[in-house]
Amino acid sequence: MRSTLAVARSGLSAVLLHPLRSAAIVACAAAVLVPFVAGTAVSEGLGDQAADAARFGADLVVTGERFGLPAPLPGSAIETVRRVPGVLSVRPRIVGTVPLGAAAEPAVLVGVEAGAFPGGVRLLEGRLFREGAGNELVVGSRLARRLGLAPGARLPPFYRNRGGERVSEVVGVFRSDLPMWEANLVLCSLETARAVFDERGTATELLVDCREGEEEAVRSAVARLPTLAADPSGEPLRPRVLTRADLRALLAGGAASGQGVFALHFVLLLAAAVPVLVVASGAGLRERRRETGVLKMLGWGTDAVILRALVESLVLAAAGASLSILLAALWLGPLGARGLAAVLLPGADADPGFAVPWRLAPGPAAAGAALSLALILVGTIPASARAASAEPLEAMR
Amino acid sequence: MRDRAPMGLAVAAAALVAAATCVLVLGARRPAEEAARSEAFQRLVGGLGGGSAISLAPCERGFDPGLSGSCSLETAYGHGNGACCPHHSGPSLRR
Repeated sequence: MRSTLAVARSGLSAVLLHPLRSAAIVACAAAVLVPFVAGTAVSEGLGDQAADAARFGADLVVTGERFGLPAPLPGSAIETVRRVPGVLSVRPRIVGTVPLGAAAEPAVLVGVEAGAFPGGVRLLEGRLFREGAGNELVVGSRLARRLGLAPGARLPPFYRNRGGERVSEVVGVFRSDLPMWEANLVLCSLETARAVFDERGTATELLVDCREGEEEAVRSAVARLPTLAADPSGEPLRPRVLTRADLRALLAGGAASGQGVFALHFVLLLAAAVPVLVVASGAGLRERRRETGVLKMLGWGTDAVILRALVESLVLAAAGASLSILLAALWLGPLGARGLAAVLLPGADADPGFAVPWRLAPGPAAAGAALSLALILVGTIPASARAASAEPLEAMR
Repeated sequence: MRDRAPMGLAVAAAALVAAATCVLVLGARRPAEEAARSEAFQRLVGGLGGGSAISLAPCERGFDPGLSGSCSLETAYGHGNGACCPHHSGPSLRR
């Protein structure tokens, strides 16, 4: 036991014997693992926020389809769906895109009914739009920063309407630490959204809440409706119904696909980094052989030499993996994922301007640590084993 | 006199691993305030988002998969063009 500990201790000495080489191996391992750990952490954070979108949204989302493509719903569709047994409430919503500013920033304009807004949590600087007050907007943090908007700012007409256009007032700006979909959001009343898109009474979807346990029955009933068009005898407007479970499955499938693509690209990146790491691990091979020869002359067995190399590799791998976790947390936390958000999140700038969601997951971190150890062992153990199995004088030559 | 450098290295390595483990444990939990803000926001807008994009351009599905059954790029120019949509291709989390 004491001799085993002494051999293990000599593995620590081996790390200190070649400080530059050891530092290079740790740096290479960290450089390879930091993007992986950070990327999977952003994926986990995004997944959490996406799950909230499904959990705290409506029981059903009803949209219209014509030619298999989304089509707006007329005002009469609200009453048609409301009459379905089991329906508690139907809230129309408008979601559309509108360019804002000289650079035509792609704002996501969302019109909702002014109702009971959730209290107790501060969501914005300023206030929400008032019921009945036209052209009052709440803008997202990134949009506000890019366009220099603050509560009280006025926007000249940015839309066309047959009835004329109006100046809009920014009454609130979302906090930047909300879910990232607030970044380019413009929230307003349904009436304001209809004025912006020059629509009369239409909506892009209906948010339906049902009696508990009757979601599936309501879904079936709405899906069986022959049309949601205002004129039943005219061109049909087919209903498309998404339940909360459907949305969760969509989000989960998208997440799995996205993470799979990310992992695949990372594996390809790793394939390029492996030669670098192997070379770094194998650098100073001649010196290693000489050291091994001296140890063999002193009576060390092959297994003791390999144990020494194993301990050395374990220490380097542990240092590399730990450093990668600390650097990833630093990058995502205090540095706000600068540079990374632009790569992972379409539309985000290098300095994103909103809180990039992230959550470190033990699984990817453990996988990264195992990978770090495997890579370092690949460069260290075979060379040590070859040197250990050679004759001492041969190894020292 | 026995060289203490190896033990110093062992202590330093253990401290690094301990620090990383702490960061991992703390970073694996979702802060309650963040969860509350997320809930309040989603209740306000009626459940919005879920994709990895922050705008509806070029396809709304990248922003919110529930908004549309297909990618606008794919249906605009013919099937298969969804593969050219930056929200569905590329080296990232784009979905």
